Amino acid sequence: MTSPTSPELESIQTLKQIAREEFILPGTSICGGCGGLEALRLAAKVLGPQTVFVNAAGCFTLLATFPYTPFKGSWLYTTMASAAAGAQGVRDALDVLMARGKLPAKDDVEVVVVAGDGSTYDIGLSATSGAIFRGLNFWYFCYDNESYGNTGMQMSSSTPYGARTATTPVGIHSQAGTEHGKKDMFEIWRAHRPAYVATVSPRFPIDLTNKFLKAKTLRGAKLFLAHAPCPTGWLYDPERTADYARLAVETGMFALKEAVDGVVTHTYVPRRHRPVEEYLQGQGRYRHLFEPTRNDAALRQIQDQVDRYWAGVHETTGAAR
Amino acid sequence: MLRIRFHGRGGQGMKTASRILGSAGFHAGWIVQDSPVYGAERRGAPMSAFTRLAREPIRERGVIASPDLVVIADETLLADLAAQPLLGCDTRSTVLMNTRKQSAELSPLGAVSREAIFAADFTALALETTQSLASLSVALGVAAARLLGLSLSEALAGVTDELSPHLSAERQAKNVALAQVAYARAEGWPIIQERQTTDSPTLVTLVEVAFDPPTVAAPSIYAISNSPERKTGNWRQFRPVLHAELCTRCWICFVRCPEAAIALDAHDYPVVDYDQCKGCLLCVHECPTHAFTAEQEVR
Ligand SMILES: Cc1ncc(C[n+]2csc(CCOP(=O)(O)OP(=O)(O)O)c2C)c(N)n1
Ligand code: SF4
Ligand code: SF4
Ligand code: SF4
Ligand SMILES: [Mg+2]
Repeated sequence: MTSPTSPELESIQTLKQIAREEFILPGTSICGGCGGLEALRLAAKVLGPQTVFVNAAGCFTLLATFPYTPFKGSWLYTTMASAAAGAQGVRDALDVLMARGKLPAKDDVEVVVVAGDGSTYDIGLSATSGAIFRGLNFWYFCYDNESYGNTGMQMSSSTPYGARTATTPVGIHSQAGTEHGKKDMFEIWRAHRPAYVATVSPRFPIDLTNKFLKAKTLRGAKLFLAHAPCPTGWLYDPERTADYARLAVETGMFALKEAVDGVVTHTYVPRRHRPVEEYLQGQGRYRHLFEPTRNDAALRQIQDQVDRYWAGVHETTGAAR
Repeated sequence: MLRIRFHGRGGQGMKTASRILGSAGFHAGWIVQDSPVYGAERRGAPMSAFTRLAREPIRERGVIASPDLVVIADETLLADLAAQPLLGCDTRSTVLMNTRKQSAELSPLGAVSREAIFAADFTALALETTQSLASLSVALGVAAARLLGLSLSEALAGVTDELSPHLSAERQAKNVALAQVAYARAEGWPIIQERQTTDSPTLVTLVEVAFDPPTVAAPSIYAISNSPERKTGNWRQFRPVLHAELCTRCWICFVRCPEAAIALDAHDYPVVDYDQCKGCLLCVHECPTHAFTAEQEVR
């Protein structure tokens, strides 16, 4: 077995530089075809075994259900509101132990919050804001399935306009399903000036790996929003997870980008964006926009919002894979 | 009262099956109740659902301990300790099993009598008629309705009530067609009668759980990487099968498998861990050379 993706590497160029070794093993209760797990598994290949994952209640709490764990490192389960506070406690404890000589520096571990969008965008935002503000040296991985998944797909402030959820059903007065727009968590995080913020997609594993490699060289808050196609909640066949992950990026609905010390770079700008409909169509949560009658106004609104975003982007960064 | 317990895996539609049966019963004039129960689990993991049909208001709630009919969507559940679909069955219980096997090959099933085991390949019926595994709910809900003596029109009314209003007209029609086929498939089977006498429920003594401090009561796992001991291979409906002669060893399937169920051998050929692979079929869908095919599980 090779070691995790070598930390001496600054970046990788091909799939075959991704670590062969696994750091999240099979046998968990996560749905087959979970896009969030695909992203976390790839991230863990860079983070390696010396990690403690600090989890906020959500789907991924089922990764480690007593008495089983898929991890080679540690796991701490916290409440939805307090994962970042948990990370602060763990980080502080490690630092104190090292300062007192009770923990050799070589046994130090990376502290990694793993939280869903409900926790990240809504319930736990306050604790995260505090942790970034205090300059906590930690990682934050949000797998964004755009709803409260574990409890049956209720709307969160990450749910995009036009998606149907259990709490935003389609009706005479809400033909679009969710009427709110998705909160811009990237910008909210960036406004705190953390060391690093990035968006990642499981379908762009080289881009994902390189962002984790880059963050590994930085101290402070390293924050990731992972697009997490969710067959169970978005209502599509699990084999299509990578398709929707790719289409989200190719349509421009999900922008791959990073910000180091607040300066934003788009890491992949498709030469021409595909129409958003290619991403929306086939996902059950958007079916009402196409059937039984087409909701042109809602579709236009989604397309316009994407177009407005990209009108403000002037980079032409090449091919991410 | 008639008590029906459905067993399936998350995603096989047994919650909907139990609702279809409930709605069909309602259309037939019964007082009905249905409810599902999930563990802290996801699509693929065992779940069950309960339907009660009665002539009097139903005061019972929760799990059905002594079922008149048990509907099993997936044979692998028989061996699953988290499911135990035959629990509480007695000599008067009936089993409806979705399987490729004949009912004779299935018995003995606990205390259930040989004559009360009915088997058919509803998965094949569903795939033939609707090309969708999701409509297993329709097939089993309707077959159960027939076993309880409900008419075809009552069963169809149940289906129409419970199908998602967001389904296209074409899919609706296919599901109705499947309902008719599934009903016909069950027509040769005898109708389950309500039990005349109900055994009085046995009283249980409640055990008081003493308070333990969190250091004792909070679960801690001191092992690492032991999740593979819990095999998730039974979740599969289809298995990915590699045709190595087509494989270009590009790593794509290995990188994409969310489960880490694909390893690469010394020559970079993918090796699927069938004990764990959940059958999401991402690898089949993603392989650029179509070196993986999906084959239906026969168990
Ligand atoms: C304060 C609080 N409210 C509600 C819950 C119940 N709950 C547990 S998991 C969950 C969903 C979390 O959603 P998200 O963070 O998006 O993660 P996902 O389940 O989608 O993975 C909810 C609402 C809780 N644990 N704590
Ligand atoms: S519900 Fe969605 S996010 Fe949650 S485990 Fe299943 S696929 Fe993953
Ligand atoms: S994706 Fe296909 S060609 Fe590539 S390694 Fe896997 S099986 Fe072989
Ligand atoms: S079907 Fe393929 S991608 Fe899905 S779990 Fe199995 S090996 Fe992995
Ligand atoms: Mg979520």
